[in-house]
Amino acid sequence: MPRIRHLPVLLLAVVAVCCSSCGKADNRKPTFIVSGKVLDGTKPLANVAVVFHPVGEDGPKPRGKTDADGAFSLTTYDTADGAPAGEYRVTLELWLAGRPDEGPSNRLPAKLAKPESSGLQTTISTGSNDLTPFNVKK
Amino acid sequence: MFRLKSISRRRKGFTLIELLVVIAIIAILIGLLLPAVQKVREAAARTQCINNLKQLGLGFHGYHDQNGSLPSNIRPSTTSTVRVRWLTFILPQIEQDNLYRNINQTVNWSDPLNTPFTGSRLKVIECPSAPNGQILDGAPPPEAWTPIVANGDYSGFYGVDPQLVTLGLVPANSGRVDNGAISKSVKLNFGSFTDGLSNTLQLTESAGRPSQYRNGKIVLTANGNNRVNGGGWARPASELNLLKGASADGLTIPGPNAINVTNGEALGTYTAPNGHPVYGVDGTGQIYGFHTGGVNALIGDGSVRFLRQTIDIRALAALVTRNGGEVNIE
Repeated sequence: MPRIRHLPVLLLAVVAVCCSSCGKADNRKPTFIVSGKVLDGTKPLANVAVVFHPVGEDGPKPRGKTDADGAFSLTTYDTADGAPAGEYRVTLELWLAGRPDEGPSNRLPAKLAKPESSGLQTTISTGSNDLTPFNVKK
Repeated sequence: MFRLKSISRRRKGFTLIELLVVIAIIAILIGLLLPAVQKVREAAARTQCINNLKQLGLGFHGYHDQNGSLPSNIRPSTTSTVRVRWLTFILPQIEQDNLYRNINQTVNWSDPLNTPFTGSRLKVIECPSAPNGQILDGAPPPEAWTPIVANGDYSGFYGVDPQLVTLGLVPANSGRVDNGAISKSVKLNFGSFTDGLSNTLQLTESAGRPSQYRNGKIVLTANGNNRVNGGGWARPASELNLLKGASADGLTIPGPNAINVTNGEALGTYTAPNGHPVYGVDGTGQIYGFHTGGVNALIGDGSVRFLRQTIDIRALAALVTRNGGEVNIE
């Protein structure tokens, strides 16, 4: 009889242990879906690596790559999960294959690859974000 | 007397229950044994894999002793020009001299003169844990893909993707496109390994190509141009190009997870005349092995190390570069 009385307590303990061990071990920040576009004048620019650098704090750098329509969505931890809310500086790079006996090279101006000099800044808010397109020609 | 008789009758045979109990015990013992057998098989395969890498390491050193440099991974400008992978040049040093003499170096590896030889399996480049011998690799687009060359699992790096520097994952001195242990155009000698041979990764595993794997599951079976570019042991495109890493799910490249997350990016469909816009005609593979917890890696000094898949990509990039000037601590 005493064994049966202890059974629910035991079960609860087992469930509690399972939950605590299965929970997220790393401290991930909540992310919000972000989509945007990269244009060269009026043409969409494909294969651009877009990186968001958080302003004033060390944190993960959400990133994305443009498709044939110049559109990208950001990834922080898992693909297309978005970015934590906050202020970001944005860098753009376009690494394309060079001549076959050379390595790939960045085809966009070098200043766009550095957060200090790219001059691109944006804010991610809670909720879904559809950003105004970045234009590499200014 | 009465009692004695009853006992003797009982001992004539086993009851059904007794037999069932014995069978159950045997079944439990076999159940305990089978996983152990599997573990031993995997351990043997891993040892064979380490041995293969050691052989290739001896091949590199033997070639360097005779020629004063390592072989380059020749990839000249057009597909009509000859392309020969480093492995072809070190064949005499790994006791495959007959194969070496049969390969015609004045034509491509995919030429009908060479395919009887490049299409034959080479045990020393195959990891026994990986799914080998099922799919053969073929030429990159715009050439039509026909499975003509036997697969290999070991590849080296040209360099480290500079995009990892932008992401803040590796320091600027690590992220260069031409600082790996394998060169496309230059015959490197050991003097150019200024980080030290024992601090430079020469080869590691990229198994399963040209099919695409992510986190232990096959996601794309190679059956045409849409596949991971690389795999064939005689193809220069089987080199791993740049260390890129990926997100933990293996879908977003580049990223912080570099080992056993994905074995490469699929080429997809495109119409560019000179190959893929980002990769060109180079390989799209990444580090991937079928061992639990990591991959084997040949270090420049000829030793073989097990790289855990939890390794920080900063430490991995320091190992990949031959002249980055990093302090290698793990």
